[in-house]
Amino acid sequence: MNYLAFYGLRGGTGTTSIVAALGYALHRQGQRVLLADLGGEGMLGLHLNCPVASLGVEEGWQYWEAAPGLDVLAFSSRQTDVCLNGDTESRQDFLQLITGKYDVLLFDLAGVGQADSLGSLLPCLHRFVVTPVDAAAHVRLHTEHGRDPLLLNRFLPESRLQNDLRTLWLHDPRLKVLPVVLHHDEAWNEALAHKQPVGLIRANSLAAREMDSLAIWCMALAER
Amino acid sequence: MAALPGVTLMNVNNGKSRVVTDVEHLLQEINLQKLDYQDIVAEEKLAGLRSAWPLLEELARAAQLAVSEGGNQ
Repeated sequence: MNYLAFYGLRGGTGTTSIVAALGYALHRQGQRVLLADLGGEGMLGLHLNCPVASLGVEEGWQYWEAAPGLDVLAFSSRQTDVCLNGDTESRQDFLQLITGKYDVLLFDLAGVGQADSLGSLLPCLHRFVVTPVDAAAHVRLHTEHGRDPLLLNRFLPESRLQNDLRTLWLHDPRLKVLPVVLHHDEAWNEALAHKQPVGLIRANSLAAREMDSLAIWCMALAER
Repeated sequence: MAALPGVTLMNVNNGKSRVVTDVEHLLQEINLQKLDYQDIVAEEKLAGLRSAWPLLEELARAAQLAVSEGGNQ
């Protein structure tokens, strides 16, 4: 079982879109995938054609089958807290719910606190921070230490600042930067507007190809 | 003892150079407790990048200060 968790360095980094698109890309590679939305907003399901009424799970959790072998679980904020930080029985129930019939578990997390809690439940969890390449992210990376590997998102190769920041981050011994970089692509916006993962609705886009690369990299990670 | 055409070694700690012409002396010279390697070209390039952006330069100075203060404690 491959456990992968993504959270944003701050809000609005595109983490949920990436988790949905990565789940779809892994599913296309023949993996049985469960997407777990622990953010409490229920946005993840929207990327996989779940009804708008599913937004903001108020109590407990909701489950959808987006396709055979591609499922979505969305937890309310309170339920997430119980599952991650509750008593032993609650945490065991959570583990039983999410494990079993899948090859890959993909978590969309609200922040590093959830990643820490989930990491204590699943020691083999691979954690990644999604970040845009901008000055605000640089300040955060400067002030906060002990970060998980960075997944750079919305990268603009023509931007001098973004190129400079990326170079500095690659040379910073405190930081780990994933080899796959996700470039800015309007296909991401269009995918959510269509309520579909980017690989399905814009299969030939740069975004879709980069998600295929990330999926293969994640599968290789599990092999290691 | 094999003769070398002459290798100039520089001590990075005091900047002094000396020419070594045989293998035994060369091995003695490089048998240091700690070999220090500094990629000066890369450091200059990164400093150049930072200097174009005041915020990045200020953050780098702050980080350097924190390191030196930490080292003094």
